[in-house]
Amino acid sequence: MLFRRYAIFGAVAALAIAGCSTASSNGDSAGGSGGSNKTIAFVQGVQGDEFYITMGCGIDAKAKELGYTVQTQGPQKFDPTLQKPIVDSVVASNPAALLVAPTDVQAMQAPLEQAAKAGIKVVLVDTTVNDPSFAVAEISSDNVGGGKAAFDAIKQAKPDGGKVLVISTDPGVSTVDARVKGFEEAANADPSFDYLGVQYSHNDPATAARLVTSALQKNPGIVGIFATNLFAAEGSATGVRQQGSVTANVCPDFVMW
Amino acid sequence: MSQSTMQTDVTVEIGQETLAGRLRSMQSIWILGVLIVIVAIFGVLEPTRFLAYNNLMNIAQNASIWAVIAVGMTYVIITSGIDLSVGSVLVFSSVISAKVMEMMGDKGWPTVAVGTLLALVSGGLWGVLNGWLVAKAKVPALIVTLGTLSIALGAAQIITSGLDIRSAPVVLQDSVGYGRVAGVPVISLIALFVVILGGIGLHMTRFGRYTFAIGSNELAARRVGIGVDRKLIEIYALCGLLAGFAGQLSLAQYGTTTIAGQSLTNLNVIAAVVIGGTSIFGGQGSMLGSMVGLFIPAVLLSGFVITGVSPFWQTVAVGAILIAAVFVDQQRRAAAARGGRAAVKARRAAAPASPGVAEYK
Repeated sequence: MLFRRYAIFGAVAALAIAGCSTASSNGDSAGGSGGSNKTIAFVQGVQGDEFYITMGCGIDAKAKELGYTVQTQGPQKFDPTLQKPIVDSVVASNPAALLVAPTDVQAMQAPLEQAAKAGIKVVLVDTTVNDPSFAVAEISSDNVGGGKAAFDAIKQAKPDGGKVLVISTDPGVSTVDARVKGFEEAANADPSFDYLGVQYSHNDPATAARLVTSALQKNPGIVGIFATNLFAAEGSATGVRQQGSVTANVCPDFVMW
Repeated sequence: MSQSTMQTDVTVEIGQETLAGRLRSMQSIWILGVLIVIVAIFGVLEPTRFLAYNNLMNIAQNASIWAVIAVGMTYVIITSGIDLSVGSVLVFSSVISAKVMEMMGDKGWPTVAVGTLLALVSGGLWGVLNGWLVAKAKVPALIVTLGTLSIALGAAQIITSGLDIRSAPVVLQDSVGYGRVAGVPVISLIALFVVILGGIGLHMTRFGRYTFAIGSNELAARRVGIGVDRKLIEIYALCGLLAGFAGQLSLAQYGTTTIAGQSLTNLNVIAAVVIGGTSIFGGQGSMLGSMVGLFIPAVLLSGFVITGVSPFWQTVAVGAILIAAVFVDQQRRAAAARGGRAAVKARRAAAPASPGVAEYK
């Protein structure tokens, strides 16, 4: 089916666009963060994820306009045990504000509270924590609505219904949990669709690809896969291509931030 | 390699177990120097921020959990083994502990005590399994622990259905995770205590000497009557036990079981131990070195973040230091194998220079 191919190329195109033209500006502003009040720190959920790089581009552009410098940092994996030391060091570097995408709703609570207590304005971007009352702002999309929108897209492509699967990253990440919830509610509400549940790819494209190929092996009737973020979408698209003959649609991270 | 050489070497190890003696060994000095230089560079670049007391304490706090695991890992690597399962065992133990503590309800310290005991037991049992498979079933340690890495993590996911348990007792989080005594994080004091005990055990007891002996030459150790199999099981059990304890500390620090996290813990700890001069070929190493090796990446991370270096360079730097550390180790071995220039260096490095030892594993 033509749509299938289209959907995959759509996903790939989205990835290409995600790497914005000023990506090189990330973190290359070296050395002294001299005038302390003109520095903003941005702590990503994970390094090298185009989602956060895109976000960083936006932060950089606006900061430049207002005369601020942005220091971008991020852990090697989407893992609170690796993100906490980075947040602690960022706090020690005493920026005017900290933009951060927390990697766990519980584990990052205390470290970020301490940052706020140290007098740094904390802004939560995309993901959040259990009690975000210390933050001066939270920026996130309507993730439940995004999950629902993803289901609607699959429904539009496959009006006859069928089996649908979700490839998420890890449980406990506020945004993707909400997307899964939105998708799940919409899918369960529609009797023509059979919701197969969530598989967790640990934010690793290779794992997502393996999950998708095995899921398609087991359930050749899968008509749609909702990948809840970029890495999950990359891997899911790869998995669908590897499996070749199937007619599944991948809905990549629909909820562009 | 003849048994008599081995005997001499064991004696040398026994004879040199003083702090001064260990410091004289080149790798420790070299690596401690590197750490001091790194601290000095960041200290000059960002004196008010990097050298701030609070930042230094944060570095110590963030290294504490890895330090506890590194104690066990040092023993294991000295036997020329490896334990890749520590991160998963940590997660498994914290899941068991959190699950039971949740069921008990938060009753303060008694709940914490039960949880800690369970974390130690479950970690220790994984260690016994690792040790038994390595010593008795003769499966290479790399394979055994690669297997238990998956099994322990999978088991943790089965128990929790993949959902983190986010209900560690408040007293555990407040007093252990974020509490401070005289300005020093409690979790770091606990880790320091474990490290000192581990150091005494390694450098001043018969158990420690046997650990070195097994790593230097397992066959020779058997011939002189050391119960190698039993010792190996004990050493892997110790490593698992400490990973379990680290699981409880992780609960204290993060308030959640971090099932999805800890994926790089094993490699980070192994890198720290190797940077610290413990030879992956076995027979050599020190607790002090492991701790210095642990602080190099921790200090680099903090310093790079504070000076605003791109995160991509941080991984490059740590990798380069790892290779440099092993390169220096190999140079020293090669020198020793040729007869050695400095007598002390040569004697200390003589036994494990045999290629036959390297092939075991």
